[in-house]
Amino acid sequence: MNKIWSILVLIGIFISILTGSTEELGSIIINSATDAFQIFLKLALLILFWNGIFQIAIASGLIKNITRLLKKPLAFLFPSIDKDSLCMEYICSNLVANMLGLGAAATPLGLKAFQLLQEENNKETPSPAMITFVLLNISTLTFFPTTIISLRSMYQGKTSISLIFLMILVTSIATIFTLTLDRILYFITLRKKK
Amino acid sequence: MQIVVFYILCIVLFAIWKKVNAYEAFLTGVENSFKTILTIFPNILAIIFAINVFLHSGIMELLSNFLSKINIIPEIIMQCILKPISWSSSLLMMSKVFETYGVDSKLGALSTLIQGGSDTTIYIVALYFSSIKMKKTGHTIWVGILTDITTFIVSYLLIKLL
Repeated sequence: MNKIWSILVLIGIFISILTGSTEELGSIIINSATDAFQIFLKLALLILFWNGIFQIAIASGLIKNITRLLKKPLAFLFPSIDKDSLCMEYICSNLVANMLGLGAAATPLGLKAFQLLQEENNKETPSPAMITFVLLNISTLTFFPTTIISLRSMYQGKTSISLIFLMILVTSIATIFTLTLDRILYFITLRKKK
Repeated sequence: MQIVVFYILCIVLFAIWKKVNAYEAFLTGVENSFKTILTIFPNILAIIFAINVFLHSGIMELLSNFLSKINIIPEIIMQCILKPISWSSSLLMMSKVFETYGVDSKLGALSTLIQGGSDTTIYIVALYFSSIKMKKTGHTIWVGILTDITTFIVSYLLIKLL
């Protein structure tokens, strides 16, 4: 992040000297703080509000209930993990929280699951299940992207059902892509070992 | 917007059905996230400063000639570059696109799809693997970055086709 930040600032200032727009840039730099505060306020209030709602979903056991439903199909992705173990429980609730768009609630669950995966693995290199799990967290299959939808309405935009459908389509394609590539790489490494 | 209402209704109704104190839970959730919020402000300020300097340096004029051929704007390119590294900064780029080109424009929709497609690869890999102090990450980073690139391409094609 440090490198990217420095490069952006340096290139920006350098080009503005070349194009002779430093005066304009000066006022923009000064206004950055106000700009940042306005966006921060929007984002911060959104996060506060949604975390409140998420806490209701956690406390009422909604996540646990959906987790129970999805346990079987998800267990298929982690053949090496015992279906009824605590580890599987955490993996599933993490993925369910992601699906519901409860990103903030998903992370602590995910970290716990990852720790338990490592206890079973007990090596210096990640097990296939650990890799699959992190990759699923990267592609994040989300059926209800709360922050994005809220941000759109803050900018007076409409979020039609078809746009949400497109978002689900994109994240599903990403998830399928990740899982396929992960499986292919997994089998390649298995062969190499033989 | 009705979807948000419906979604919240489901969560609240479920809580009432389970006889959970929804009000208390809401307060706890808000209270717990105060800390997170304070940590993101320095980050946002730093990023906004860098993005503003970069976008207003005149590079836009230089790039936009080239980019207009494929109907992409520099903001979207920046969003794609920042996406795997920092969630809040790519979200900021998305709000910049909303501000400049309108939320309901095609570019606004493209930006939305890119943001929703996948998560912050490098940040997530760092977060998970450092939590158990493991240095080797297998093929996670590469597959993750490829996933990000796939979502960019798929989003672009979808918006272009529709």
